[in-house]
Amino acid sequence: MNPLLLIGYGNPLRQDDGLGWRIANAVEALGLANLLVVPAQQLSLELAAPIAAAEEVMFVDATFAEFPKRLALKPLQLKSQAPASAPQTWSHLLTPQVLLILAGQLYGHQPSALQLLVPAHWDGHGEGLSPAAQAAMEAAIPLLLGWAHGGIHRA
Amino acid sequence: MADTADGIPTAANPTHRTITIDPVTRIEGHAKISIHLNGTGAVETARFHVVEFRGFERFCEGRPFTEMGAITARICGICPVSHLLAAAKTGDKLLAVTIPPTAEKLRRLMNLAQIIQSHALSFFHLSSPDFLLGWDSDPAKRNVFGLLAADPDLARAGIRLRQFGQGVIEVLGGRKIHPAWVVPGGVRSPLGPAGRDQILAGLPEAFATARRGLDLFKTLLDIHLGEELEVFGNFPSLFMGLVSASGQWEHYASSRSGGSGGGLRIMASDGSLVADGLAEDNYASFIAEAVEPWTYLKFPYINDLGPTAGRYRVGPLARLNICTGIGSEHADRELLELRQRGGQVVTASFLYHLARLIEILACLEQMEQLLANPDICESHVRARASLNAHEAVGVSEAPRGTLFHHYRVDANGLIEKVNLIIATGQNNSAMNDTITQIARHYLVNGNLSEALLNRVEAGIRCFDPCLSCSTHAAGQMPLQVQLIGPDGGLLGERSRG
Repeated sequence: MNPLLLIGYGNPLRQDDGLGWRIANAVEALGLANLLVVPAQQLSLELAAPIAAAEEVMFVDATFAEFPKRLALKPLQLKSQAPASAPQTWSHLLTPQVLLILAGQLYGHQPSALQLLVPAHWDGHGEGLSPAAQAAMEAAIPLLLGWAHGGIHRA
Repeated sequence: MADTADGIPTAANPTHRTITIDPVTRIEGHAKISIHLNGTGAVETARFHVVEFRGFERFCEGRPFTEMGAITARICGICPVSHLLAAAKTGDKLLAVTIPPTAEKLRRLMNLAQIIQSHALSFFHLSSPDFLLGWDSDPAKRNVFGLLAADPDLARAGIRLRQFGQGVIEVLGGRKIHPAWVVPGGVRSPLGPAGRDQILAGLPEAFATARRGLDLFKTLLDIHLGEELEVFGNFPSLFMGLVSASGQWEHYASSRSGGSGGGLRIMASDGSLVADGLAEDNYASFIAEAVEPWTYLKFPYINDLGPTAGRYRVGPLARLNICTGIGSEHADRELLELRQRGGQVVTASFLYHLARLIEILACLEQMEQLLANPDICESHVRARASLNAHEAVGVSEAPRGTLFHHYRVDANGLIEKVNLIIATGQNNSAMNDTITQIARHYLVNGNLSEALLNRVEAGIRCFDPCLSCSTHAAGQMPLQVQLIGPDGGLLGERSRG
C-alpha cells in the first residue's frame, strides 16, 4: 500500500490544460518511495480503488479561473456523502469530490485529500505550455515533494 | 444563454420557437440540444449541437507517422486504444508489412479489453440509473450514488468489470498505455505466461457480471421499457461496420490486414446488402460528409445514396446487425434472442444498450479463445521495415463504431495530411433523428418537463457519444434549458445543479 497518492490530470494536447498530467509525470520520474503517482488525462471511475487504498491523496489540476493567480493548495472538504451536483458531474468527467465519496462508499475508506490548482492560460490545441504555466509547474514540483516528505501541515 | 445560431431564423419564421438543453449531461465533451417548435407548438426538429471543434488533424501535421499512435491516443482519455490501433494499422501499411500473427492476436486482445471497459462504463454507470431508478425519479439521485443506494452490488460489479478491461490493457501495454505499446509493425512487447494467467483469472467474474447485466436488462425490457423501444430512435437507416471474411462479427481486421478480414459491410434495414467487402483505403469514394452551420460535428453519409437515404449508424448495434454470427456460443445465443426481440435487422436505437452487453459477452468469449491459443506468448511480435508507402488508411472498430485514420506522409515519414473519421461523428444523423423522435413524442404544450429533458438526454446516451478532445473541465457546467420565442427573446429557462 502506498500511503500517499498523487493524481495529476489534464489533456496534454490542450496546452496548459495538461499541467496536472505533466506535473504528475515529472514527479513520477523522481521515483519517490511511498508515493504512487497516477498521471491521467481525466479522472475516471476506476481511480476510486487506489484512492481508497491511500492514506492521503493529492489531486493536481490546471485551472483557467481568474483566481487563483498563484498555486493554490487546499484540503478537499466533503460536506455530504452524495453530492447534490452528482448528476452534472457524473459523466465521463468526474470530480475529485465524487471520486472520494465513491472510494468511501465502494471500498470503505475515504482518505484525506488535498487539491493543488495550478493557474493555466493557454487552452488551444498543442503541447506547449504558456510561460506562466511553465513557471507554475516548476514551482509546483518542490511543493509536491515537500508534501510527499511530510512537509505540509493542514489546518 | 440563448442560442442564436440554431439555424432556424426566428425573424424569417416568426411562428417558430426554440428550446435549448445545454449541455447534455453524462456524455463526453461539449454539446447541447435544441428543440425547434413550429407555430402550433409541435416539434419540427431537434438538433444535437457540438460546440467544440476537434482540430487535432492539423496539429498532427509535421509529426513522424510513427508518433501518431501516441499523439492520437491522447485525443481521448476514454478510448485511447481505438486510436492506437487505427494509427498502428495505418502505419503497418506505410511500412508495407504484414505483422506477426501473435502481434495481431495481442492487438485483438487489447481491443476486446477496450470494448469491455468502455461498454461497462456506458451501461452500468451512465445508463443503468435511468433504467433502474426510473426516468422520472429525482435527477439528484438518478446517478451512480442513487445506483449505489439501490443496488450496491451491481454498481460494484460494473466497476470491477471496467477494471477488468483496464487491467487487461495494463497487462499488455503497461500502465501508461498512451506511449503506444501498439506500434506500426506489431506491438512493442509480448505477453508473458504470468500476464496471460492473470487475465484468465479475471474472466469468470467478468462473465458473471456480463450475464447479470444481460439478464437484468432483458427483464427490464420485458417489464417496462417497451415504449422506449418504439420512441428512442426507432427508424430505418443503413448500418456499417467491419465483418470477418466469413461475414461474422469483427472488431479489428480489415480486408487488407493479412487477408483475415472481410472488409466493410453496409446493410439496409430490410437486410439487403448495400455494399460488401469494401476496403477502407477507398473510404473517400463511398463516404461523404455534409456540414451544417449549427454544429462542428459533420454528417457522414453513403455517397451514392445522398445525405438523406445514405444516413447510417455504426457501433454495437450496427456490428450485430451486419454480421452473420459472432462465433462464440453464448454471444451467438444472445444475438439470436436480440433478433427475435428486435427483428433480423434491429432498428430500435434503444437496443444499443443490449447490443453493448452482448458485445461484452462476445469480447470475453473471444478473449478466452485467444488466450487458449498456443502462440499467444510467442516473442516475435514486431515486423520492422522502412517507409514504403506515402499514403494509407487504417481502420478499427472502436467501442462506439468504425474509426478511420488516413495519413499522407513525405519521404521522411512526416505527416503532410491527416483525416480522422470518428465513430461518434458517423452516428450524428442518427442522434439527431433520435432526439427529434423523442421530442415529438414527449413534448406536450411546449412544456419543458423533467420527463422530456431526461428522455432527450437518454436518447443521445443510447449512442454513448464521445466528444472528448476538449479540456477536461469543460463538462463541469449545470444543465441549462431555455425556451426562446419567435422574436428571439427568452421565454423561459430551467437549469439543474
